[in-house]
Amino acid sequence: MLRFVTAVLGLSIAVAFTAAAEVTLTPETTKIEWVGTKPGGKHTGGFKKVTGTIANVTPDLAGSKISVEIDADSLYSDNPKLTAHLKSPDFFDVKKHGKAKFESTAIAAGGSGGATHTVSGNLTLHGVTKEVSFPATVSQTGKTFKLTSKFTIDRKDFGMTFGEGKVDNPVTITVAVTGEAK
Amino acid sequence: MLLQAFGWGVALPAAITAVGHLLFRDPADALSAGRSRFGGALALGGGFLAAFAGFDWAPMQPTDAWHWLPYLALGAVLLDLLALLRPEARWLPILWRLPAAAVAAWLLVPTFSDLETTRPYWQLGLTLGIFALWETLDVLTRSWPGSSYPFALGLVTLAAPPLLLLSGNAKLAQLSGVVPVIVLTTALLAWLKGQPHLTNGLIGGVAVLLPGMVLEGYWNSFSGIPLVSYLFIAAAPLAGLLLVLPPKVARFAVFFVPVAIGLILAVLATSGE
Repeated sequence: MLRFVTAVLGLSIAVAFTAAAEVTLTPETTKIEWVGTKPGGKHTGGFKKVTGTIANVTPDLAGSKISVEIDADSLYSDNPKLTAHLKSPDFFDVKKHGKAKFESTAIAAGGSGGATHTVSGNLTLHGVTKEVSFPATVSQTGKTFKLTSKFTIDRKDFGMTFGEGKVDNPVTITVAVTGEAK
Repeated sequence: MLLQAFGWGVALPAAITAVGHLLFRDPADALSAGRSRFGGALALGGGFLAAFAGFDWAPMQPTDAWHWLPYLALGAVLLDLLALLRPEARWLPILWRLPAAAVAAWLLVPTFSDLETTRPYWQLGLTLGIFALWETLDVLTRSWPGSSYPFALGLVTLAAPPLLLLSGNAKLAQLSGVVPVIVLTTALLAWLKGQPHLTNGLIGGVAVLLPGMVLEGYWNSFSGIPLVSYLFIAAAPLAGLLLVLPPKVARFAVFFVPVAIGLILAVLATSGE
């Protein structure tokens, strides 16, 4: 009986610990990069300041919630002139829309291209919020939490319409998180 | 995209300018501008608003400071038509030009957090700048009739697009190109038709748009171009006050010195990036 109580208690504590686990997203643990293309070329870049949390981390992530905040002014690219242009009202308009955000609404098991999960949520970019869904590959080894994802968004969906024909509308986003579930 | 830029940015405003000036022509024996003021107002106010709407880069109901530009330009040229009530009263336009410049400055300085502490100073400076340009362009219009003045003014305003492009603001650069299109079309018509006063109706719009667009570019820029570059180009027509000095060649040089300094500084600032 005592053994049973101990086991139940131990399991409860383990479950409670796991359910409360949270991964803190920082610029050191989280990389968000992009690839933009144009006829005959491409540019790469990303965001230097990314913060947020992955709350309620469970093995299947069913009840988990991802919240990410991006400092739009931390945008960088492979060309300083392009960086300045991307920050201007022609694209991100960062003086007006200083933050980009993502809030997950659901994380389901399974995903396209061999991904372990499909993350759905609301992405706010350039002051426009749109529901997006993307595949993510998640692994948890001990306390180490890893998430990688590669997906495409259409810049036009977020009101960035300038330069159509000279700049392609789809933009590939790559996300890589390596954090500790605490 | 190139066709769209040409259509909305060049062909449409040039056509509206031509229609405006041809519809409202001064009689051959007119000593001062009367009807042609309406033509100039239609050219600048209508031409710029049509290009702004055609490009479709911003909502017609302003949500950002720079979205006010076409309405402020239209308001300025319409207000200047009041001068027709008493053309001999040279002081009269001050009654609306100074308040209009203040309203324009109040609307054009953005509410960005990095301008929070300096916003009132920008508004005061822009008010005085727009008013000074407006009065200067008016003086030049009266003292320099003919086609060479709008031609020189058109070339001066042609400095704004490259500056704004270097600052990383392509939308503003293309919009700013509409002003020289309108002014140079006016110069061409003034030369072809021998009309001396075609510039009168549009100077209010130029006085608002040139500093307005150039400074919007500065406030929205992440390039290393120094403020002085923007100021030289925005205020370049003020140098025109020196045009009372002969000879004519020297006059043109004076007119373009600020523009050249502004552009050279901008190119130097961005060449290392």
